[in-house]
Amino acid sequence: MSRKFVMFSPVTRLSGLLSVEVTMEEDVVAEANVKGTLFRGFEWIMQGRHIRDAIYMTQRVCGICSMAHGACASYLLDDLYDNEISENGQLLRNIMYASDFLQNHIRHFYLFSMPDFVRMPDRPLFQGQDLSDLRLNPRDNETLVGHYFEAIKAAQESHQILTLFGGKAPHQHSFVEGGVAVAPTADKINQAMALIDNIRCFVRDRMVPDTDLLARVYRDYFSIGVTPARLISFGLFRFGPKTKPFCGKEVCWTKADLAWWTQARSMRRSPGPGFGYRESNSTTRIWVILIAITRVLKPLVGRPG
Amino acid sequence: MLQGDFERLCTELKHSPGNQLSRAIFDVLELKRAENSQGLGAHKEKLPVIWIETNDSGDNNISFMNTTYPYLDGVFQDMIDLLYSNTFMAAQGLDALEALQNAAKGYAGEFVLVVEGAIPVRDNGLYSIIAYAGHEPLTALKVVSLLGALAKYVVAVGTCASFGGPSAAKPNVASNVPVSDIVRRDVIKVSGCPVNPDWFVGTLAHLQLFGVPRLDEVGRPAMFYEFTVHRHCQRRSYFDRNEFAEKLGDIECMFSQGCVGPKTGSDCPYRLWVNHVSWPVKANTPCIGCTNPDFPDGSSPFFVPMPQKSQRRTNL
Repeated sequence: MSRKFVMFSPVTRLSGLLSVEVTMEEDVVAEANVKGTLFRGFEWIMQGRHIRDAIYMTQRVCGICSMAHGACASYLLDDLYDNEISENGQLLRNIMYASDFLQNHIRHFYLFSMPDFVRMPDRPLFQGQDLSDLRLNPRDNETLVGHYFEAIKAAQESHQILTLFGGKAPHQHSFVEGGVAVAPTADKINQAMALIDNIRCFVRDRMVPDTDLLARVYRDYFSIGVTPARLISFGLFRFGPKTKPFCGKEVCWTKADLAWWTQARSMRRSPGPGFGYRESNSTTRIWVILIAITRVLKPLVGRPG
Repeated sequence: MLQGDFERLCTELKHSPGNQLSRAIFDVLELKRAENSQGLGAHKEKLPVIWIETNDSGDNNISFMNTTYPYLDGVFQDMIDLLYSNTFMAAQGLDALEALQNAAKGYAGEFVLVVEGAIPVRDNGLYSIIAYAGHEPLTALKVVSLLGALAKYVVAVGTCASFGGPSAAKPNVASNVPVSDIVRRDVIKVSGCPVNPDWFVGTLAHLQLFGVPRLDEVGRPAMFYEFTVHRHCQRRSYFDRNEFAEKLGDIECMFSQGCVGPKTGSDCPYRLWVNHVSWPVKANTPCIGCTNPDFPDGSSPFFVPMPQKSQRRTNL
């Protein structure tokens, strides 16, 4: 059997540097090794530093998901210092976290993924595009190109919500251990509501139909390169006065977790009725986040900061 | 058109039916605009840009995407031709490498080299590989020194590229150094962690309209970094009256909470972030000096007041 090595490098449109080393046997990919090719050594950088510096330092791990790293640091410090978080504080943290998620999802889908499926305009930025498997008709193609440029504003508005409460984005400042440093005053809630309305319209009228369209036209892609379902989740948003640790020794791998994990795995392996591609794509998650933000923002109205 | 002609036009057409007056004025304006297209600003050539990402978190390109007026699509349409960018370009793999090669050859001496991130020099730069040509690693060290010699301007975007930043924070195991240590020529340092989109897009605008902006003593465009945060801070009156915050979230001066505004050159207090809505001190937290050459080690521990920082840092 003839073996062939293919170096796919650089993999573009992502945060960071990536290459894939592929081994082919005949026409089949026998092995694919992914390399992240930048190294800074954050594990070493964090050592010996003041523990509260982690809130801001760890955000510097990644630009597109900075909030997630900062949130983890704050949650762990909450646990360490046994902080009591006010209800408003916890809700506001969730809003900030969710805004960064919205930004991330929109940018990932449009700016990072779409040029794999859509013929982009003939500009330097898009030259050298792989045109070998473009399937959209010209009209749909044109529509999606238009949405690529609209997504720029929707993602910016998502970060504007984070900035309203967090001071800046990426690498926000006010989501810290113990709560949030900014009060959710009426003006900020109102501005965030206006922004979220714009984003909701974009997701409803653009992103969801676009995802459906691509998922339909490229349906066969769902079965290419399926990997074992080695995914694990310990939840995302936090509620209540105590921030529970996500992977502390008393939480990790209890019997209940294992049971849940087994069930989750079995669901992923044999999708039951109604568990089609829609559930597996990112728009489901974005809807959940949108609904969550709106639900959380609404009761905040009228509460004193 | 002279003032007299304009007045006559208005008088003649003031009672005319339809929108003749508006239309006539609009035509004149269009004519005027065409005449001015030779003048400054109206006739700008787009800057060819090669953007190389090295050791940073990719936060600077995310922040760049947050630009408003112009929005990102406006920047791509009117200001720059992005010839290579790991984040934005459509091409992948060999096509991307070819684009880089073509850009470097085709625009030698004309392109703006934007470097985002620090350059690790340990082990011949193996800790940051832009891409592989076959099995041959194209290290950031090699690529940036090569392109640095061919570029018209070199712009370091973000604090990692400008001064080493978080990538070069102690103990700096991969020996990350700023771009200016590699290219041995003048580098326009647009620092910040991340860079404020206004600082970066504003620098591009200056290059496009007037060439290299006036730089401060550490190589940053003076128009953004010349004055300290402290000088323009909205909470300066609290500092002057010795009214200091007791905790994050308070309305008083954040000096007590570790603010390094007094030694940080940046226009954050009036520039603000992400469509100009807020900045760290407005969010009742300290400035951590992310534009500084000594960031982050010179600012840490972040929440300890400046006079005590250096003492605490010796334990690092």
